Amino acid sequence: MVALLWANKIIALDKTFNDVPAGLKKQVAKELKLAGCEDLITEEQYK
Amino acid sequence: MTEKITFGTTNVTPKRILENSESLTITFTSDLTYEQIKALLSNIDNTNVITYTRESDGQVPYTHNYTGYTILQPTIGVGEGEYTITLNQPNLQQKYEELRAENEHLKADKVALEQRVALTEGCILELSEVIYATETAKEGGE
Repeated sequence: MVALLWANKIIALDKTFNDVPAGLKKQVAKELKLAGCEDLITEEQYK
Repeated sequence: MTEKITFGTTNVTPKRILENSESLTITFTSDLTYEQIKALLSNIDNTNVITYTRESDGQVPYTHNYTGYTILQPTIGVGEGEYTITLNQPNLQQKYEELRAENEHLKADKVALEQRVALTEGCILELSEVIYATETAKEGGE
């Protein structure tokens, strides 16, 4: 749920992937991929 | 209720009541929503309202077909142009004002709710940052 919120904020350009806490990055990256917004994942290891 | 309206085409003589067999198409803009206008005009007197259609999918202008309403105070004569129309129905002005007030109230509620949602979302994000930072620190300590 929190990961989805982060993903939505990133999609809305209110936050960036870099702002996401390290422990959540993997889940947030998954949500961004599901939303078709892989381009917003700015760290290579999560793409 | 008084609305400033623009007639498309009309053969209505000013200052008289339309016969039941006549219809009149008017276009006007309003602060009310489509559904509110529809409800307002449909409930007042079904014998007088023939049809109600919306010209397009947009919110304004609305197109209404009326009979039985008194046309008052024409400003430039019969034909195309601007008129003032007074709908000859009791309590319509009051209902109109009530709906408009309700609209304003709902708009204010919407803004307040949006602010609360934004605040709550911000809190959740900050909390998650703290929680994950704490967990990371714990893992580092272990």
